[in-house]
Amino acid sequence: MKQRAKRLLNDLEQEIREHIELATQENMDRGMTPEDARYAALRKFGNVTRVKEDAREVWSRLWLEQLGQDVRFALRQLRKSPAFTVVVMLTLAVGIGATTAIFSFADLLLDHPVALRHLDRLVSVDETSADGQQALLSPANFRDIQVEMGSLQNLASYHSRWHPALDSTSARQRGRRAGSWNPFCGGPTETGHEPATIACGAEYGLEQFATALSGSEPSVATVCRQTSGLLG
Amino acid sequence: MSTREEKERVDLLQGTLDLLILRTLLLGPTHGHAIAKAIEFRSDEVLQVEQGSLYPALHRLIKRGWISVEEGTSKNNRRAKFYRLTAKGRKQLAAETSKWEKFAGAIARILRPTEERE
Repeated sequence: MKQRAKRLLNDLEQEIREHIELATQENMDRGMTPEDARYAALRKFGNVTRVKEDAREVWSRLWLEQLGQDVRFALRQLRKSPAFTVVVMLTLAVGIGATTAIFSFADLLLDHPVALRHLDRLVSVDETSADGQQALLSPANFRDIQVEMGSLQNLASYHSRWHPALDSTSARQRGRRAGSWNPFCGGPTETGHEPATIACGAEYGLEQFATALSGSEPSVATVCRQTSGLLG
Repeated sequence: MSTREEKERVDLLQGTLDLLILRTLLLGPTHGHAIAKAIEFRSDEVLQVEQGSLYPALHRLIKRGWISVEEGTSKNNRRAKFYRLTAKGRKQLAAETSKWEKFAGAIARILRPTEERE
């Protein structure tokens, strides 16, 4: 089947040429000049290229074939000029990467901001050891910071690994004000201020805390990583 | 294309070319140019076949198994492809012919009364 189609299509060009020659001859027999005869024969035959394409399409999906040809041609061209290929690929990679990054940030910051009124005043307090390593905050240090802090309105701590109230679902289920979930480490309930505490740790994103705090309208949040020792 | 000073000609209806090819080949195997000529001649040169469109149609008929193709020599000793009606094509021709007659008859019945009224 495939073979037969191929032969038919290969022979088609010759067949068309013969057809037009025959028609030309007949026109000349009728007294036309050779030029007119040929022109008339061609006109009567129609669009040769389209005829060939139509015939090809009978046997195959022409567009698929053309697409394959285009792809193969493009690949050959790219292989021929590797420098160009590399530049194009890098351009595309950087372009797509940058666009994705920017839109991810924009999406996060503009479409899904954390539900806090003064997001610009949210800070994370970390303790750094002498050798520059980030250290876990001890309960005593936490208390010290809490008592002595001058520039922070409030301070909270959490250890996300086991504190059940930090789980946004369970916080919501209990229907408690977010400020009260961790009075132990200096949350809003303890300070008596407007609910203002949020904590953020490695295991929890800001968004989860915002969800946990929903309804409490925290204004300023201070974040502090905390040791399990403090809460335990 | 539209400037035709000869007698008025009619373009083929969609799908009728296949039928005409089959009917032409009933007279015996022949090559492409002769088929086109036969259709025009036998229709009193009323039917206008864009001769090129004959070839895709022939390929379509081959694919469906209604005609076959073989190498041969034409009258003036040229090698040419000859198209031949197959048994399957013969059956198809019969079916298509009766279908066409029904169709043409129905159209004629619809058109006739209007003409008489006028």
